[in-house]
Amino acid sequence: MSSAAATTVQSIVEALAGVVGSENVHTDIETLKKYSCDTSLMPARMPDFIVRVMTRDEIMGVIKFANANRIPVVPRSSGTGTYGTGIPMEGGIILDLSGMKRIPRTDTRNRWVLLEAGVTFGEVNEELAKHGMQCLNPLLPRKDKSVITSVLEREPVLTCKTECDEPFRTAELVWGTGELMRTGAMSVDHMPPEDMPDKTHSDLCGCGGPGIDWWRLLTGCQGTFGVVNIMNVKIFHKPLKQKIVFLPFDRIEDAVMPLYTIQRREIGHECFLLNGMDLAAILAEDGADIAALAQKLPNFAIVLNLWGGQFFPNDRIAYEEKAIKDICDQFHCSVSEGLSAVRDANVQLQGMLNSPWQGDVYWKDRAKGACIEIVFQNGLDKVPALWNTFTKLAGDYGLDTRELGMYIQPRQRCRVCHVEFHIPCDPQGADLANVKAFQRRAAETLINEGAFFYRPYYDWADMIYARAGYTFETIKKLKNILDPNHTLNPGKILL
Amino acid sequence: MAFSEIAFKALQDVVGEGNVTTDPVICQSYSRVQWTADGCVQRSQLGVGMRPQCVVLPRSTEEVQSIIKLANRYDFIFIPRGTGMINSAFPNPAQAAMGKGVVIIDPKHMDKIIKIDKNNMYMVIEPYVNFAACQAEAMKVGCSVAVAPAGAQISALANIQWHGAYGNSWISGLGSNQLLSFEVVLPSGEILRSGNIAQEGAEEDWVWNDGPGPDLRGFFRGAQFGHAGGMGMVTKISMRLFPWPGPSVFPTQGDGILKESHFPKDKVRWYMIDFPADMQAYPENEERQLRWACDLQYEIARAELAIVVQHNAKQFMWTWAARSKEEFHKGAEEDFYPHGYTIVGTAAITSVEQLDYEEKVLKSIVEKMGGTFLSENSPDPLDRERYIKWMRITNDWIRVGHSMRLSRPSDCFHQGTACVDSIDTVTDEILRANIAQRKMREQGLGKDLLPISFHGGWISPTEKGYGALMTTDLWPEQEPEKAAQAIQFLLSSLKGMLVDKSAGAAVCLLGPAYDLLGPAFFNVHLIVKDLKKQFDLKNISNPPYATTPDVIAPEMLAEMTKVL
Repeated sequence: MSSAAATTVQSIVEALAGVVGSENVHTDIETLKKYSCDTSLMPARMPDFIVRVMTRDEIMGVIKFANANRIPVVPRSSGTGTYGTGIPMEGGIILDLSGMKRIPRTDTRNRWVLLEAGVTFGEVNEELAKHGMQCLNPLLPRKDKSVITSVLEREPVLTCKTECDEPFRTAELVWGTGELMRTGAMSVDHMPPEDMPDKTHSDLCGCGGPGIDWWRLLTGCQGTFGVVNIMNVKIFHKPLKQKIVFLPFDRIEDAVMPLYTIQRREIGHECFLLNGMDLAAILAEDGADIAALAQKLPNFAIVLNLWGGQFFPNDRIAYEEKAIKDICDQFHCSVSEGLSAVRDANVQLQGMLNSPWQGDVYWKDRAKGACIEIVFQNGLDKVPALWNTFTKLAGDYGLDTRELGMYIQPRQRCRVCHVEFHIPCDPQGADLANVKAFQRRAAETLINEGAFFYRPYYDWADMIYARAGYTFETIKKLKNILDPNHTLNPGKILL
Repeated sequence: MAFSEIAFKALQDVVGEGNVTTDPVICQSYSRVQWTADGCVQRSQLGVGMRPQCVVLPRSTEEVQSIIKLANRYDFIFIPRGTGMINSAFPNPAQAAMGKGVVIIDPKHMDKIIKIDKNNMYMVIEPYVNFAACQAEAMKVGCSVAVAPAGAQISALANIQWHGAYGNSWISGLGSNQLLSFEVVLPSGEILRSGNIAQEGAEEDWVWNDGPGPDLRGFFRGAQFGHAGGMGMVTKISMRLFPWPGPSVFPTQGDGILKESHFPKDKVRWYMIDFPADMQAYPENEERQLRWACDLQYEIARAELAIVVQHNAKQFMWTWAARSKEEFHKGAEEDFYPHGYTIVGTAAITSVEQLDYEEKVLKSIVEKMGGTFLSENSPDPLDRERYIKWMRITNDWIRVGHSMRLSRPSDCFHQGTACVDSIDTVTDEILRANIAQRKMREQGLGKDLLPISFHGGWISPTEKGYGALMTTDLWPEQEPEKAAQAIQFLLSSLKGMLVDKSAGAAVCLLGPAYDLLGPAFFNVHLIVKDLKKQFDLKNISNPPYATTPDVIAPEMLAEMTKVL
């Protein structure tokens, strides 16, 4: 590659082709358009180059070149972003990692899998099934969702066990300067992790270091600090037996103490709460049936997977069932194995716990063609009031509140809950502007009422960081150190 | 350099005359590291130079902020501390060489448990709250904290920010896992908050750790060590709590060293597990024993049982179980615990039926592996006695009842080595270190260390077996030459880890060690130096922590690492 500054499109293309081969550099308008947006309904922004990479050396080469020439680089593993993270704000290169599909190692003893950035949940679970293992999934991810992106975005996983809450183990990454880095136990061997023999002096379980906890700093930064190309993540043994049960509620307030208690008593494995609309969006055979089905389903339902584990599974499920019945007696609620409107709901959901969404239209989009979300995190006790605020405000905007969805994912045995409020909408509809205006207003109102927006997505960063005091100044200083030329994903989280 | 009178007056103005002093007698009392070997050496090197020029006792974050702003104005060094247990809480040789006044910020007045949220399982604390207080209050609301064997009396905040290894690490993990939201006064005097409290409107809620945006625990917390006061002073944190089935008051009986503690069997059950008969001879079978203990821990992980799982080395067993120094030395000589044991604790988090289930599974695993349980009915009377003596104090893994039993044998101790990775890998490190250290001893090194020093190996799995921590421990007496022997062994371990590319090396970077090891670790020392320069412009927050702003010249590095 020439060391002279690349200033024309042609010279940049030539330089990039020198790194990845000309067949992996794209500048045609159709391809650029495809990468100009994601599934978020955020305004499209055009990149200048699409560069498909397959190796760490290619990633380093592209970023070093871009950094030297002040060209933005936007990393993208799957392109199914729901929040606009992969949309280029200042043009430049989209670094397409989706072809990095290797799963070099599965360690069943230490319960982790090593995978590259383009590996999806469907692909990793297919591989893990051969070993009797299972990935820590979020709720029904899109088919092409990258596992590494999900972990870096801190998407919550379905299991509420505290030890499963942070699946990140160790990783290799490239800083904005193009320099290589490995975190935690991966940093000691000076050997590419995929080449490490099964038994070395490191088992890639120590996630901290070298020195400070780089792995945590990388999460939530939306690719603005570094590009992770390979990572090992926690997995778990498939149970010999499991059983889904439902706890239905008319009011969200009534679900609070039963859910706290189930988690406090450490019952079950996967557990979450959906309202009728979201449950219908998942269970309806046809998208057109969702609204009608939602009316027949409980207003709210806790979905709990009783977990037999690897030893005496019937005994384990038996004591968990007894404990659930005790809790239902205590709080005057009921538990059932099915739902009257969908008799095999438990069977359907069982198959969905460790797989991506299989339908052509994503479940959140099924009702109206698209879905805008509000995502935050709080203690469960705060959620009912926030939901009431949200639905009331939706009514003020003329939205049909029966169409709004809600998903609550308890984390760390319900120490905290990841909360999503869903606003189904027609992406081509006349009402879209009104829905977007509502989303922004609702986000601001919920923030003012104490909802913690831990992921500054969409165009929320301004309103969130305006309320974050010196925290944002600190993040900016970190950015200046780790990516001094602001090469990586400029414009995201206001960096 | 003398601490300036004008700076002193300004500090008086901030905290009141009664809360700041330059009295040499009082300041001298802030110059004595309790019992660590490196502290003993540091004291011998510095003499009265280890005495700070001033001690200040703030009552609030705002006062800490004012103190740090004054440090910037009048260019004095400040040392934040918790309860002052480790040598980074004291003036050090690098500070002496800088020639600036040194002020210790003692948080004795910041001793409040601000909030306990039993539903969302967290507690908000100030720097001078100790683990005993945390656990006593947590248990009242059906919760438990991570329990630090470092002692009931130490600052929970400092422990969680600094290091953090726990009796119940099986469920709680390490210090970095306990940290939720935090508030820190940076070296510039700015206040940084992370997690819920960073966002105006959500600041009453200390429930969560990361965001908005990047997880700043990554900036403020290390693999095994935090910044040791080198990046400002942490003034409040929220920490995780865990479900606890009761009782709500920790049960004890007896007084003083005769005190015992036993939980009702429908709440908590303990198991002391011995190796198969054909591998009990020690140290001949050390490797077989440790590998067996690993296999057992992996099986327990697969079964997802228990709240405590540990392999306690011979040195750990007796250090903990002996009630007095006299009993310790007698038992050590008689080889009371002939080898290590696996200790498992279960708690009725779900129900008594769950306890019964876990017992059934554990027995099935141990039986299949050929191990045995010690009990009051063990055939060997010595085994019965070993079990009874351990059970008197085993609840220490849930609430540390006595100050730092590890210091008991010689009033001074030091880690021989430490590592964080998988259960298997930390065991590799134990074996490597034990072999190397025994060889060194044969060569006449470490001759003054207590013999029990050479039977190390605490395997403490974390996050239900997803990871593990290990340490071995060495006991010199509190004399500089003897303490230096322990440090010599530690350095030898560190070199061995680097040669063998052991995962333990990744967690050892702090202070001058960044310069020593950074080049072998993707030059992270250069990034951390940038952090120090950006956030501590005048290099006054407990230098040379987290590291020095500039790369250290080799001869200077050799001088600075003399203490290590």
